[in-house]
Amino acid sequence: MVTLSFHRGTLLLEGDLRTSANFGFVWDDRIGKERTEALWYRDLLQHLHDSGVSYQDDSRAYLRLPELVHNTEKEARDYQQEAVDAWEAANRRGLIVLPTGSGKTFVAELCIAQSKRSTLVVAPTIDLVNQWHRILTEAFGEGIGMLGGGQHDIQPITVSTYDSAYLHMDRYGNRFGLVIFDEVHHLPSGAFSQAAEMCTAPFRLGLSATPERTDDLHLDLTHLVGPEVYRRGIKELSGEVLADYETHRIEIFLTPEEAQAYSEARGTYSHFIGSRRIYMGGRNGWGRFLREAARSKAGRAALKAHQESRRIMHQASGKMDALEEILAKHPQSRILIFTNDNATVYRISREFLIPTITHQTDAKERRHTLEAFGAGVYRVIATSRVLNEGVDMPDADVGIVLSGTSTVREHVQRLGRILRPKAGKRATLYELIASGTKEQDHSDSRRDHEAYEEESC
Amino acid sequence: MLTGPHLRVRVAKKEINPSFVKIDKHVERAEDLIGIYQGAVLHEWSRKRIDEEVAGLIGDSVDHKLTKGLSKLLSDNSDFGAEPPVPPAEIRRRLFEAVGGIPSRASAREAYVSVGAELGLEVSELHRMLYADRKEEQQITDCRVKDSEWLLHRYNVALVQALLLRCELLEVHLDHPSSGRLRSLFRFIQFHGLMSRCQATDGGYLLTLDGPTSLLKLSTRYGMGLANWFPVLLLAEGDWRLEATIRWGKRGLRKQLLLNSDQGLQSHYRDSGVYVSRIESWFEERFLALDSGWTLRREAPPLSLAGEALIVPTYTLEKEGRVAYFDIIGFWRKRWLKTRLTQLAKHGPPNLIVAVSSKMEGAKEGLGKSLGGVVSFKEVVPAKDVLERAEACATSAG
Repeated sequence: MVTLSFHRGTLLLEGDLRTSANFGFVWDDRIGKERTEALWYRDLLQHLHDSGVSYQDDSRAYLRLPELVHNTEKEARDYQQEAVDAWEAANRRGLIVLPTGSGKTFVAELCIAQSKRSTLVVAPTIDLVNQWHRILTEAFGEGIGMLGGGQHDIQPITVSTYDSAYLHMDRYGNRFGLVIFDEVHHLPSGAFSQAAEMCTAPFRLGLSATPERTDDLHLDLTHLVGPEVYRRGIKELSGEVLADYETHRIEIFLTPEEAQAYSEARGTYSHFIGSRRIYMGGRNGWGRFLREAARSKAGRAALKAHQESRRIMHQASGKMDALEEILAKHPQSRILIFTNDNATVYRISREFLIPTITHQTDAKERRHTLEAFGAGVYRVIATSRVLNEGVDMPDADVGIVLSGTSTVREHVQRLGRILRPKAGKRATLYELIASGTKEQDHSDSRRDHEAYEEESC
Repeated sequence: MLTGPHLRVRVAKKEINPSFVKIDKHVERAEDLIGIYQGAVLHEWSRKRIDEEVAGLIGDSVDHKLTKGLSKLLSDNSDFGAEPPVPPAEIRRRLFEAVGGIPSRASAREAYVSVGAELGLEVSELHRMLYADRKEEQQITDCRVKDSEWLLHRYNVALVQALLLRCELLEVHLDHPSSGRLRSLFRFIQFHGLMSRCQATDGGYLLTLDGPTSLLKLSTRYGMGLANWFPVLLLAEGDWRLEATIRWGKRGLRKQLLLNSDQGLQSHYRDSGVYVSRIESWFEERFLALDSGWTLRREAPPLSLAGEALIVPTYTLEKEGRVAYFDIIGFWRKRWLKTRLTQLAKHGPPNLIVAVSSKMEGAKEGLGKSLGGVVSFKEVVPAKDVLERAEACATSAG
């Protein structure tokens, strides 16, 4: 006889498994029992079942939801149905890779409806959590729980941030039969992976447009969630589902004053890192710079100079003029402006009276702003990085990237934001680059990505 | 709480050492900062305004991290709030709607003027109020720190706590702790979601603290619990030595943090003291009056109840090499009491005697025979009964 129980993110075992496979069990002399990661639950039960060992499972606290009804008028698109089928065929464990704007959320709804188990959805930002909450309420009715953003309400279907999932999985890790990781490329980062390790959910789904990570940690996803079971690229779906798009890159020249201030600031900074032999391209360049900067007056001055150069680059007055011109060129459009930092967002907001969404915007005002944007009362919204991932925006057709030192992923996701399917729509993306500054390098490197292969400007 | 940017440490090959401040050396800086915050309350300054003032105090000096850290602790112990009369969200909504259509700088200027006229406000006032609810614009309403020495002690402890956030394993050697102290240490270990091993050593105990998953994979998951537990340790009388494994830097290199009770660290937690109840002192009086040849010590080792709980009995009774433990169970909630009594009945050692008040509901049910005995009492624990049980159940020491 074998007894399994759940203890704060782990499984405890009493009795003899009668197998050479050990499922990660380690003897815990603090309590005199075998202990392993909750993640092993499914394999363990499979083994107990197959080997005919009698067992008692005290760990299981997740529910079957036989009454669950999926309220939807949408029909699954072919690729969405294929994705769900592939996941089913992989015993409800695996990753589905689809571009932003292709309806990954609907795929998840189908998986929940088919599994009929208590479900936890984990998403990276509070915006996304709110959005999942709204969509799941429409799909499955009232009573969707929420964890994070000041909420602590566990229900048979619950939505959580990655942070809260990491913090609280040791308490609730046995309460869900299905766990869905949205933007699953976040999961392997350091602590977050524990959200998958500390939960017993036998069924797992990971969603992403861009699961690959430069540090190769995405290889851990097979263990944490499951293998990749389905993938379609942005090119395969463009035109079919996603709006057609074109990109314009506009070079902005600094004013003579700005150019001089920029080069002075860069000079101060470069001189300092040169004199200390700091190589910024190296693994630890930035960290070394910060450490050196903290130690001397010259270092403090170099750090200030570096911040100043970024401010000049991001808020070049030519950009504000170009922004005004672009706005005037699209009198009928819904426009989103993206910046790298909050200071620029607030500057634009003050100068143009454009509504903003940043991480400081509270839920109520955010909702009002998005609704007013959807209704056409507001025509433009400016935002820093908060909207980068996956948050559905109503029908924007022009994007303006005003400042950014973004990675490829971030940029593709920005593209995805304005690529919403709508008949005959052609979306436009503007990228404003301060000429002769660091921004140029960043822009050049991100054009290597697939999404930029055919430039129409 | 201090975080990465405030940390002042010296990192060596194997060790990491917090750069503690000498209290008397920095009193002036601490007083200046407290002055800024107390003045800010009077002047209703915003966070941004306070930060500017603090930046002015720092100037070009190289010890900016210390000043910023102290300022962070002051800010953590302050209240912010106080919004302007017209809610900024309202002002924004009016202004954004007044623009209408695709905005330009010209249309924005017109909107400022027209909304200003509606609300009876100058354009410059509108400008100032537009984002007055952003965190950095919030006004300070109270600052609870008045004492510079308190602030500097708090800073030193906060440095340790900031490192413990990155701790994956912590060991403490405790020198002769009293049973009351041990008990409060263990209570807080549980309270902060930690798990412990406890080994008797020469003259004390070695406590190892981490959490449930730590033996599968060491991680900094329990760092927050350890950081919050640390000030409890500082309340303990008697000497201690601490050794913590810290994951440092981006690559998470393992460094040792070594601390001891001679470094003058002072807890900011209130010391609730070791509470000696009337029940205990009455018992001690009567016990001594019996002059039985048994000695009574308020010190006892932690006893594990098969991993389900750890208890530290109130007393050790000793006579001619024979030892019994005696625990007075305080007033617990019914459910807790029931769980504890079941654990004791199942796993309690044979030489453990417990006293339970007969006023507590369900007190006696569930207590089995594996125990040294149960003494029931109303007001006063009958010392004679305890001695009788001790004679019967005491085991040879060692």
